[in-house]
Amino acid sequence: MKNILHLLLTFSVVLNLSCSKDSASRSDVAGSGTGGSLARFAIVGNYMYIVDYSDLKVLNIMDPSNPVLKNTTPVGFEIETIYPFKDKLFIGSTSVVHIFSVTDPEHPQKLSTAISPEVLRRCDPVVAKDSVAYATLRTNGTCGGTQSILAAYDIKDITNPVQKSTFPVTEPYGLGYADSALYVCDKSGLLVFDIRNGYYPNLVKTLSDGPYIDVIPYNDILICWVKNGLALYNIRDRFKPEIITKIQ
Amino acid sequence: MQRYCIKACQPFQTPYMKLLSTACLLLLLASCVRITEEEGDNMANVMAYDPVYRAIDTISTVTIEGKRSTVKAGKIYAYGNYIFQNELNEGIHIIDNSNTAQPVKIAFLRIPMNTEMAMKGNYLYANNHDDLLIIDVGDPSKPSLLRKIENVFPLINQQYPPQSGRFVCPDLSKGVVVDWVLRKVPLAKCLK
Repeated sequence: MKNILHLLLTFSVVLNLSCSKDSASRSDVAGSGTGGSLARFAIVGNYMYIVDYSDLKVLNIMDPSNPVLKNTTPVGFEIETIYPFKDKLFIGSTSVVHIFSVTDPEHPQKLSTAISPEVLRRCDPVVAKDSVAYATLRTNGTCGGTQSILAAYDIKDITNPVQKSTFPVTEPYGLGYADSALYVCDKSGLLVFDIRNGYYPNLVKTLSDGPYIDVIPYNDILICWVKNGLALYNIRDRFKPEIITKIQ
Repeated sequence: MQRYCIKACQPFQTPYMKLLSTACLLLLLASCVRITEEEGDNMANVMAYDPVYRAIDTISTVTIEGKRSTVKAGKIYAYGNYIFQNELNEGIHIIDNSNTAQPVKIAFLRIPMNTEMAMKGNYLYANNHDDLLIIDVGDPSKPSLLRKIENVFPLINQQYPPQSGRFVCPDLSKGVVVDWVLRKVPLAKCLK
């Protein structure tokens, strides 16, 4: 027990894991952590953003011990996820991706909506890298389309996202990237895409050992939420995840 | 109809128009999600999503406990040398990843009705039901609940399950719906 307490005491030490490499890691200088693509909480600098079923809430956390609710913005409905990228928020719903600017952090402004014409209803975790946004679109029974897809959008003009390509998948959930590798969670396993040609992801590896739900690429570790807990992979070689351990 | 409604709902961005947006949502639910209540023989003894209720459990303290097995794995979060995983509606598993070759689960932070988390500095933000808790973990062996912001995170999946299919119409007087379990039930009148 003493040992556990000792380990816990080191909990407060914030290691500045500087991300020299380009990755989706959301650690920033202000000492916040990194969430998965299915998160409903997101921290950008001194602000925390929360999405519920229909609204986006802004909390000022300049004093992190005393968050203050600043604003509530209606977004739409069936909101599921929030992903911060630079000064933008990508908000996934079961129907569309809403893109907001947080240049004025307390007053998010809606810029655009990304829609995939093929699929009417789906679940939309989304991540963005440079001028590309990736979303997994899961067809959803009664009202869904016929095929779940990974979609890539051109977001060079953020006010007018354009779908560039789609890739058929079984039943996708969360996703994340590290450098040129995009990791997509699917009911069939973990799909690893090469995204050096950003708008056209190329599947290079599949780990078919059960359903994956979400990922956080975190430096050289890929943290995976799997059915019964966690699976951790070494991704020093981005395209060849090697299992470290499973934690249940 | 579905496409029409999705587009029609977009302009309702101002709080003033929120009511209309809600009306539109209801229209969508009626037209697209198609939640219906049925009469007839096909709703008895069927496989259906059955709501799991729980009495609202709001807390005034948080406790750290020994590590435990993951039963219903939830969302993930990384902070410094630590990895966190939500145990659905129970709390947060804490994993020490300072030796990346051998990460180990070390403790469990009990927060009933928790599903979401984020961290900044020594402060953990986690929901307890629809309240947001601000927990000081500067001394992680003695996490302390500093304050809570009430009603900041309305619960989801209360009226119908996330999945499509037949489900037992929820009775919210029984508590909040914390899960939907697919099982054989005597009666399932709702369909999504």
